[in-house]
Amino acid sequence: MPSIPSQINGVVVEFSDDVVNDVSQPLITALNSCIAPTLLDPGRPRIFTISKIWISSVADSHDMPSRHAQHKAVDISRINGMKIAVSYPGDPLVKTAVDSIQERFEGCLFKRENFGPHFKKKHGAPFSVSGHNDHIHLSVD
Amino acid sequence: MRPLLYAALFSSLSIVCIAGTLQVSTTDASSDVALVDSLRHIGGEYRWDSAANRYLFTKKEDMERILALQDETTGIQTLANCIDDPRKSDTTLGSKRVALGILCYEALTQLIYYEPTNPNGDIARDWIGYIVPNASIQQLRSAKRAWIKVIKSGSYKRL
Repeated sequence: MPSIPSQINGVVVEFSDDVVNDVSQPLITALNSCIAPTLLDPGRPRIFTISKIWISSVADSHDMPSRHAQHKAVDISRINGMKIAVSYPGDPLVKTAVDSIQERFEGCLFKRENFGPHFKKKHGAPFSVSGHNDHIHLSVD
Repeated sequence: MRPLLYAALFSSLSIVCIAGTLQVSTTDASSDVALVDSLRHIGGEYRWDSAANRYLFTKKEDMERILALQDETTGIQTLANCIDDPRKSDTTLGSKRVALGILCYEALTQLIYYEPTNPNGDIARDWIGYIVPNASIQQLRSAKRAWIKVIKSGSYKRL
């Protein structure tokens, strides 16, 4: 099983200490299409540089049958060192990055759960689920 | 004078609570009191954000600075233990002061999160540990029990 690399599209990927980062290939493919190093600020004519993301969980601290335990889910909780829990939606860079990751994931072939502060969707349709205002949870079929 | 008063009050409350309800043990009582007291007086307010479709707390950055002064593991335990604290804080929602337990929950969920899972492996739609700023004392008590169970099992993740 492949591991999430330490860089995706030039963006450094940092992991929480206890993360087991072996995942299914479709999830790596999805991350490759979601993580972008530069983003246009939708509110002003400027470009944000995304230097690093923080992965708080992959296949760890979850029991079967969780999609995490199946190596089919990933949680992202920080952008450029800033916690989503603290900086979303107040910080424009964090908001733009989170919104971008979630919107790009919707274009992925094997998308399943896409829960975060921007929206909550399952298989592309709005889905009511509590929490997830503090991190992005992405899973694949 | 006031911190000493709170220290004495909180210590006696802790003894009663430990005898009567579920708690996770902490190691530094004075640190616990200082953290909880800081949260009680952090101020700010909960404002409805229609774009986010939820209440947002206006002093998240200040809260982060308070949390940065704590040992994280002890802080997590302290915060979980005070989720059902009904004392009024200086933080408001509309014209009302919210319970201190709401601030403890706000701070705890700035440090850690938990993902409840369905039998099919997907994230569960709801979990009793999630609360809103106008939660009732019964909801706070239920949330506290849920978080303490999660903390004891180690099934939470750090943000």
